[in-house]
This record gives sequence, structure tokens and C-alpha cells, in this order.
Amino acid sequence: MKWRQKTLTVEKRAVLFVDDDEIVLRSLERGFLDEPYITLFAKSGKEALEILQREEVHIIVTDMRMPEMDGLDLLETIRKMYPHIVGIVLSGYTEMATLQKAVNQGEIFRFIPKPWKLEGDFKKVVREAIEHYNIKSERDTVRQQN
Amino acid sequence: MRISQRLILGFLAVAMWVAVVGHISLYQLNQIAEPLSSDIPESVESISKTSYLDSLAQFIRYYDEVLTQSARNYAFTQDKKWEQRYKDVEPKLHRAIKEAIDKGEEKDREFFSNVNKANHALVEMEYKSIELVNNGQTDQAVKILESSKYWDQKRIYEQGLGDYVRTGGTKYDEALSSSAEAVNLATKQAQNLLKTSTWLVLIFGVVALILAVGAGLLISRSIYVPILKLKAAAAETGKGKLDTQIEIRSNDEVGQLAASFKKMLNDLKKTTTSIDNLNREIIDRKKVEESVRLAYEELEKSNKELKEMQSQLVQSEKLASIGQLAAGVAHEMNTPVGFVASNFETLENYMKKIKELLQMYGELLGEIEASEKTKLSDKANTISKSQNDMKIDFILKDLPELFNDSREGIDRVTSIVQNLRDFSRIDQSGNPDKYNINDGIKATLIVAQNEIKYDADVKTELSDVPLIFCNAGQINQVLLNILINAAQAIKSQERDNKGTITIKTYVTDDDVVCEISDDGPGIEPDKLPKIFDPFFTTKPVGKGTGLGLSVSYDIIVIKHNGKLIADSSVDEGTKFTIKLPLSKRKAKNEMEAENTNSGKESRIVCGR
Repeated sequence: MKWRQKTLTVEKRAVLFVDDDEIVLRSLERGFLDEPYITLFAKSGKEALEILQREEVHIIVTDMRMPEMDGLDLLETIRKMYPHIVGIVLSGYTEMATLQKAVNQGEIFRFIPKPWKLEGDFKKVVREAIEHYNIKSERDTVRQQN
Repeated sequence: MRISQRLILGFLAVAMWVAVVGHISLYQLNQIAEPLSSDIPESVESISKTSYLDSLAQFIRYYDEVLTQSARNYAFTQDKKWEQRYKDVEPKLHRAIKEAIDKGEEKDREFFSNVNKANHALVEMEYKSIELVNNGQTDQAVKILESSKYWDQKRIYEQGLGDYVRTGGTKYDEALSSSAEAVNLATKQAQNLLKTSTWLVLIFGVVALILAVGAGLLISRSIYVPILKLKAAAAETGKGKLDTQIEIRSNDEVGQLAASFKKMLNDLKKTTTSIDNLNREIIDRKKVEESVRLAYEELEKSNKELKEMQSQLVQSEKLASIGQLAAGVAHEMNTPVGFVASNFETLENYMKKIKELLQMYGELLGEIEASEKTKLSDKANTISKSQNDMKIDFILKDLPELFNDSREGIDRVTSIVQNLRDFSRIDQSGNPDKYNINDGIKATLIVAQNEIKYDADVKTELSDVPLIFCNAGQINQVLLNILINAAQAIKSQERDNKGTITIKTYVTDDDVVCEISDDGPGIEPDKLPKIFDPFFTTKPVGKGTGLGLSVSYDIIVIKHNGKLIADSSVDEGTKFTIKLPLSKRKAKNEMEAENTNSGKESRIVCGR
């Protein structure tokens, strides 16, 4: 019964992937085809913000280096506007100082390096993020009830 | 009192004593001299005067006789020689009488005046007689000469002379006797004086001697004793005892000398102290010099080490470039490798599903042979449901795209590897070869793309350029350096829109030229001359080695005989111009020279 409830909660969750390379988005789309949660895709930070206005999104997975608005800027904006969204970075860009800053500001839940592994790594991280989100929202609900 | 004063005083005392003695002696001498100077000369003079007058009187008488006789003889003989004789003697007589009047005493003068008058009268008459004789009146002449008038005058004449002789005789005696008296007196006085003077001289001499000796002793004592002290003090000082005390308090030259000596001692002490200080300083300075020498050696050592380190740094700059390159390339490959790997996993998943589905179809085929209708339709429903669950429609539609995407990913990786190889020419041993700068730019751009593409668009205006002979890997390293600097400069502006990097190539008579310009912040005029200096960097510590452009300069200017020029203006951008010389022959010559020199690869010349 408990598992069932959890599954149901997972199914209601939506994950938004952001990358300037459409091939990356397509490979992610087919990669996450069998996952129970909703997957959404955006080619840029701007498009991602547009989607966030229409759809309820719980997890965001973004590339770091993108033209115009990079991943960190996007995460920072999201943290201000939608503080409940859990952020994950998917990047081949491993500059420590930038990452450290982002992690310390609490914008990033996990970091997934490129190239990634779907099974075991990427999917597991996304599920963990959803669980993290669920626990947090449950706690908030209990707190509000109290 | 000063020594000079003392000496003067001593000599004055002696001199005064001598003066007193002298004065007394002079007085005594005067006693003798008085009769000698007044009485005796007086009487002597009166004697000589009298005797002179006497002789004059003799002459007067003699001349008169000559005149009388000559006049008479002329009157009687008419011999002209007598007239001549008369005229010769007459002036002499006249002069003698005149002389007697002048020299004689008052009484004598009266006598001689009478004689003179008589003479005049006689001479007048005698000249008259001579005139008469000359006129032939001899008788008349004789008459005059024998006239009573003539003889009267003759008597007056004689009487005058006789009067003189009588008075003159007594005077002569008087003079003689008074002279004798004076001489006597003088002799007596002289004798007395001699006696007293002898004693006086004796006494005074002794006293003067005592005075002189006393004064001498006193003065010399006052000079000699302090000088002895000074001498002793000087000797002590000479031994180095500068604290020697001198107890001389007199006010004279010796005192002054002592004071000067004391002052000199003080100065000497000061000087000695300062000499000591100087010595110490010299020792200190020597120490300092020694330490400077050591420091210099240290410095030379450091310099040597630094040079070694610099070559190491140049090497590490190379490595850093390669590292940067590797990082860029790695990132560039991460994405395609990422999605290809992802697709590959998905493909496995797809295949699993398809296999499962095919198995189901197989089972269905088996059951069709001995089938019951209901069972078949059940099976078909199951398969259909599985197909839906497996999203087979999507998979079938997606499969070609999956292959396309993966192929593109593999192509991208292949291209990167190819360009990386082109860029660094890892398949060659760094030897110079024919090089097309346009190909070099393309290869470098692909490698550097990842660093550039988010901050700047790259525009290329590449014209056909001849091949040049150079080390492609090195030239590409320079291109990469300049491109990445441009991208980083644009990035540092944190601007809203992307910047632009323009790459132009063209050929001139002598060179192949490549211009790389950006619209970044530009370089400040005071920093522009330093950009090719080793270790000069404007990037934060740890971000740049400060060797990129220095190494670039080395590669273009030193190794390839080319030119590397930077133009910049603040807020407008920076342009780097690379000029690589065309001439092949010279390059070959230099390369041959290089090869004969050493096997090192350091100096490789391109073109010109």
C-alpha cells in the first residue's frame, strides 16, 4: 500500500531537461521513455522558463554552458521564482569554482557529468531527486497542518 | 707674560744698563773733549791764521818791492820786460792785499786797509810813470817816482805793514801758550777719567754680566721647563697614551703651545675615535661587501635556476596549452560521447523489448497451428498490450533517428580527434613541413570552439594563400593562444550580447599574413608594451601563466623569422597580426644550418 502510494506520487512528478544540443535532448527522451514520471524538454533557459509558466515541474536537469542564459543563471532564477524545484546539473564542464559556488548556494541537488550512464546513475539520481522532493513537500504539508 | 716680552724686557734691562754706562763714559769723554774741541783748535786756528797773514804780509812786502823796482827800472832802462813784469805782478799784489783784509782780524783789517789805500796811490803813480815812459817822457816819469808824494805813500805803506807785524807777533805767542795749557788740562783730565772709567767699566761689566746671566736663566727656565714637560707629554702621546695631562698654565707662547698641544691631543682623541669608527665601518663594509658578494653569488645561482625554471615554464606553458586543449577537446567530446552512450543503452533496452515481442510472436505462431479461436485472440490481445506498453510504435519510429543521432555523435568525435591531430600534428615529430595557414586556423577553431562559442561568434575571411614551410603545431599553438585570449577578453566584459572575433588571411609580396581581431575591451596603452614579456598577465593568479604571448612571440619572431604585432585601443578591441615570411630558399638554408649546428628542435625557421 505504501509502495503504491509512492508510485502514484512519482507518476505525478514532472522532470524538465534543458540542453542547447537537441541531440542530447532526444537521447534523453528515448532514454527516459520507460520512466514513470513526466519528462519535458527545453532547448534553452528561456524556453525552460516558458515551460515552467505553463506546467507544474518538480525536477529540473540542466546543462551548464549554454548561450545567452547558462545553467547557473537559470538555476538561480528558478530558485527565486520556484524555490521548491530540485535542480540537477548535467555537464561536461567541470570548472570547480563555478560548481562549488552553485552547490554552496543550494541550487544543485546532484551533479551528473557528461558522458552519463542512464541505468544505475542518471535514472537513480532523478528518482532520488523526486524522493527528496516528496519528503520535503510532505514535511511542509505536515508543518502547515500543525 | 709672553716669552718675546720677557726676552725684550731682559735685553732692555741689559741694554739700559749698558746705556747708563755708555752715558757716563760719554760724560767723561766730554770732559776730555771740551778742552780738546774748543780751546786747542781755537788756539791752533789763531796760530794758523796768524801764520797765513804773516806769509801774506811777506808777499805783500815782496810784491811791493818788485813793483817799485820794476817801475823804476823801466823808467831808467825803458826795457819793456819791466813793464811786463810790473803788469804781471800788480794784480797779484792787489789780490794779496784783498785777501789779507778778508782774513785778518779787525785790527789787522785797519792796517791792511791803510796799506791798500797807499798801494792804490802808488800804483796810480807808477802806471802814470810807465805811461810817460811809453810816451818818451822818461824824465817826467823819474820825477814822479822820486817825488815826495810817492815816498810819502811809500811810508804809509811801510807803516801799515810794520803795525801788522808788531801786533801779529804778540798774538802768535798767546795762541801757542793757550794751546799748550789746553793740551795739559786735557791730558790731566784724560788720565783721571781713565782711572775712574777703568773701575766703572769693571763694575758695570760685572753687573751687566750678572744681569744678563740672571735674565737668561729666568727666561730660559720659563721656556725650557714647560718645553721639557711638553716633550715628555709628546713622547707619551707618541706611545699612544692620549690621556696624558699637561700642567702648563702660563700665558706665554709655551702656554699657548701647551694649549694647542692639548687641543691637538683632544683632536687626536676625536680623530682616533673617528679612525676607530672608520676602521669599524671599513670592517663592517667589508662584511657587507662579503655578504653582497655572497648575495650576488646567490643571485647568480637564483638567476641560473630561474632561467632553468623559465625553460621549464615555457615547457609547462606548452603543457598548459595542451592541457587547455585537452580540456576543451574533452568537453567537446563529452557531449557526443554522452548521447551516443546514452543511445546505446537505450538501444539495448529497445532490443530487449523487440526480442521479447518477437518471442511472443513466435509463441503465437506455434499456437496458431493447433489453435482454438478464443486462445488466439487472447494471445493477440496480450501481444497488442505489450506492444503498447513497450511503446513499440515510438521505438520503430525512433530507431532510424537513434542511429542518425548516434552516427552524428560518432562523426563529431571522429572530427574532433581528426582536428586534434591536425592541430597538434601529433603524427609528426615537430619537424617543419608545408603548411596552409587556413587549414591551421580551421583546425584550431574546432579545438578552441568550446572556449569561444558561448562568448563570441567567429567570422573568417580566408583568402587563398601559398603554402609556407614551418612547424604547424607551433603556429597552431600561437593561433590558439590568440583566439583564447580574445574569447577570454570578451568574456571578461560580461556583456549581454556575444562578441565578434574576425580572422583574415591574405598574402603580400613577402609574407603570409593572418589578422585576428576582437571587439573586446582592448589593452591599456601602458600595458600594451608588456604583453610579450614573460610572466606578464592580467588574469587572476593561477589562471594564466603569463607565458602564452611570450611563447607566441618566440615561435613567430625567433623561430620563424616572422613578425607578431599587437594593435589595441581601449573599448574598441585588439588586433594581432601574424606575418610569416614566404621565401623558401632562405628558410631551407637556415634549416640546413640549424641541422648542422645541433639536433635540437628549438630554432625552426619559417619562410622569408
